[in-house]
Amino acid sequence: MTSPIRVGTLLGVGLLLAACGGTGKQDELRDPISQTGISVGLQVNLPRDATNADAAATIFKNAQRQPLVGGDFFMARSTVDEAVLKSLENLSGDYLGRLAVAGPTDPVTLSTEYDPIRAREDRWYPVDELLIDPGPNPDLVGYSGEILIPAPLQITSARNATYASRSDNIVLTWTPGNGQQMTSNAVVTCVDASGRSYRYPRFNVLGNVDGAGTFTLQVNDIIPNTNIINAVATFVHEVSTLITVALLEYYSYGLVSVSNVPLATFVVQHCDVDLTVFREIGYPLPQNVAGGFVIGSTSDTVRFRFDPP
Amino acid sequence: MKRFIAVFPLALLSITPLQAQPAGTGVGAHLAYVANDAGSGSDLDANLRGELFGQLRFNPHLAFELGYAHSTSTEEEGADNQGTYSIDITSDDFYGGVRLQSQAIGAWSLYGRGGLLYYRSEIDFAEEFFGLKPGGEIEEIEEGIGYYLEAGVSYAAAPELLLDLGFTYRVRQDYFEDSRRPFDLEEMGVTAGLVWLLR
Repeated sequence: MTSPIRVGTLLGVGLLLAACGGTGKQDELRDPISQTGISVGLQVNLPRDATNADAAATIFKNAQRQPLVGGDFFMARSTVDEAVLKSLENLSGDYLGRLAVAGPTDPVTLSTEYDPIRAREDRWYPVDELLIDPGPNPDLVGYSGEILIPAPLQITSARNATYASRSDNIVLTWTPGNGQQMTSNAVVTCVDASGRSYRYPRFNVLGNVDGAGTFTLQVNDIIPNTNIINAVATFVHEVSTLITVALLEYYSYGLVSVSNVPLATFVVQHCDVDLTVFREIGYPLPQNVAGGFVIGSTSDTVRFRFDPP
Repeated sequence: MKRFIAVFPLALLSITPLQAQPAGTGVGAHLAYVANDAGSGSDLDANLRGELFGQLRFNPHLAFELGYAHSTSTEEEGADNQGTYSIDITSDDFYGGVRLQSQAIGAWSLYGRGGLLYYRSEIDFAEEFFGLKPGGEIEEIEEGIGYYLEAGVSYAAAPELLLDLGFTYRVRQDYFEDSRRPFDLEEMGVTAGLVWLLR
């Protein structure tokens, strides 16, 4: 069973930590969240060997994240399935759902809709009879983006490797595909000598390197030795983090809040890293949307360990 | 109730054998503490139910009963990403059925009750949306039929007085039967009371 609070905690940490990462490359597919008007973040990801895609979405108005309530919701539709996206934590404004897709080329539509009964479908009582209907929020309903999922991705290196130095290279290789951009999102779990641990996400833009079939990260791109809590906060990579924690099913792990991360005194004994690499294609923003992104992606995850001497 | 309180300590001390009551009438009252279940996902809280009934006794072991029961409010409050809601159900039942009474052993006997009921429930529903949209409340009246079962032990505190203690199960069927998600409301719990046997 999922634990929305823990996912929310991870996302909260992610908000602080999931910055541009260490590669220094610009994200070419994600526009900034606009200070005025509506912005959206829509992403559909198909993990390696999966038949169900994860759809994640968020919507902003005047740069403020907007929870969808009272009959408003995000809907994901493929040619074979549909799913109402759920907020993992009430009022968080982050929405996630899982739906079957016919294959990598199956288009998925993500949209904000209004249906007071469908939105309450998880409740046990007759929602068609016991209903207070406040009507839709016209500022938030009616946006739609269509997404095609790129070719499947398989990482053929780094799996179960062990690295001893932050300057070590993590050589990632894959079969070249049709992606416009490659990114990675690492969920890092570090432990010190006394057994204390903390977990954080770390987003990196690898760039337009799909055709090359390889990219070299440094361990330091994922596990910096500086005070990483000072990383620049950004909204646009939270959707990626949302998808990452969903496909890794990190819901039941003991996540910690920012206040519990003893960054200043934490001496790493070892870190386990689940590195998810994404092959991404960007799509046009919905009409009348001022910022954000619409992305289709496939992904593969490798686990490795950082174990300094 | 005062009479019940006055008689009960004496009843505990006495070993009055149950007198086989011939045909006649009787009146009774029960008070139950019941858990509520409206199906998968529901989380209605427990409540009290009071009953008043009369009986027509055909012989010492069989009586026909007519009664009225009032169930106090059972409530559920919930929240999800769409908002918060509360459901409050209060019910009145009119029922009829039989009461079976076993042969007494000393002052003790077993009893069972069962029959059909007509219910009228008042359902107060309220919903809020975290202050982002205007909330509100509505009231619905649901009526229908159901049934009840009860079994327990009786203690003859006096030749005319039975003290009952038992398990009770009651179902009110088909709330919102024309909706997409009708439900039955089940009550299950313990009940205690008395029956005053009249000649």
